[in-house]
Amino acid sequence: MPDNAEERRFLELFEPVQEEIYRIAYIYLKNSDDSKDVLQETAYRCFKSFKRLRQPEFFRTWAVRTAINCSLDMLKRRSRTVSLNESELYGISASSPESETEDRMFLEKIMNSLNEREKSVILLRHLYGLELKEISKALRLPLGTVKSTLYRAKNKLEKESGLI
Amino acid sequence: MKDRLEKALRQIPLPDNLESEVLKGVDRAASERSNFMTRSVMKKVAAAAALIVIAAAGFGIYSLNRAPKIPSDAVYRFMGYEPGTDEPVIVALSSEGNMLGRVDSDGVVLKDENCETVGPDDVFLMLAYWTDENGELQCTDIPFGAYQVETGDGGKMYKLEDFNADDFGERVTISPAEMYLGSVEAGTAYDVKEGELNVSLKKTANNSWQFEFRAEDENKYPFSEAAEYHLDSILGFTDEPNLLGGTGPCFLSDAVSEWVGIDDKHDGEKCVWEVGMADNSLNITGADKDVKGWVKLSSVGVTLKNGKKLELHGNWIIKVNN
Repeated sequence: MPDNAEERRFLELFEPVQEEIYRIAYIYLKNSDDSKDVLQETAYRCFKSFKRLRQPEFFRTWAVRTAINCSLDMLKRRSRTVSLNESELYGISASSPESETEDRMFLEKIMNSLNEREKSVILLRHLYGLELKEISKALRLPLGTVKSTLYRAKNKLEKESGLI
Repeated sequence: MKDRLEKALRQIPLPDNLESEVLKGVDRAASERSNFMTRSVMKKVAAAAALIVIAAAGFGIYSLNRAPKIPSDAVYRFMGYEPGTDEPVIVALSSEGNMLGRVDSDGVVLKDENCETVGPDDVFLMLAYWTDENGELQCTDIPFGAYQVETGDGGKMYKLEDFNADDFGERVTISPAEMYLGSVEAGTAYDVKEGELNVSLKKTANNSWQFEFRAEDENKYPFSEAAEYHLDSILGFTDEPNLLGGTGPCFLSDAVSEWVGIDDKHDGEKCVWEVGMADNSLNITGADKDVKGWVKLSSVGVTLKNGKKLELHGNWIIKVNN
């Protein structure tokens, strides 16, 4: 249990996003153990810097950006490639509604068709609504690279899935 | 798109005990923070000194990377425009390839197809076109940033006089009227120092171009021993009258969006390019004879067998099959 007010305050903010952070990590790492490690590392890094967060309304975006960077760091450290555990990913029964099948297909495209940079740009732009300049800063990429990466990623998803 | 992403993410099953992972992370941080608080003043002094060193180094890098200062009154001439003759036409394009508006010397608020004011994030590319003294149409890419003006009503206005010459970067004409070299960021993320490397881009034959890499220290950067490469071309235009006529550009595919092994010959998805690396050079040939017009190259990269990487992000606009 948290033993001081700051920890309690942090956990109040972190709890609503922890599932989301786990899933974001999973997009990159494709397995549960590493995704849990990223969740722990994200909590670690965020709490260390928590005092510097002046606008709590940006906590979610801030935590997700941290999670993406943690995921990328873990990928760099890993020399092996972990193959997608399909039974874990597709644990939903085959009789799922058609809409869910489409969602899983889209998920698969995101996980397997996009490279790490493209995943990051797509998620930050379209899921969290960051401006391109903010993405440039968050990922330490030139603005032009963010723009071209976004265009390329959308193009891939559009071509391969026809879903957007 | 947001909705699709959210639904897709929810397909990932959740394990139990996520809370315990969070608590472990928080406990670790709290423990470290506690230890940190007991550190001596000397540690703080050392940290401050290190910050000063980093700041000084950062300033040095910043200074190295600054483009040469160009007097503001030289802007138009720099762009190939002589006051009193044809003014350059500035067009702004969305990532979908729609023309958002034109900017003339009076400035204009950019609008999308629904006549909604667009922000800078909606603008994917801005290009300047003008006619040179020989009547040849010229084109260059305009970097983002310095020319944005708030209009006071929430819109954005772009004005020619707000352009900062620094933002255009250095333009080098490789082949008259056909190729422009914009700003280059030399591998700052890959431990490559400016000055040790030279990258040139030249037209080698009709419809063929070559990035040549040279290093002062060939042992450090043995470009003749490249392991993989990449080349990104973002988009192209069917031809300039089409663009200037207002019907919008035609997007082309990436050339080589991923890193490719040196022994592999890679054709672009729509066979826009054939790309290969030999000796110190990345060779590019326009492959699809049906594709004509302007194409923008956005970045080029090489990985060497010693593990070093060079990646250049630039704005090179070339004309194919014309």
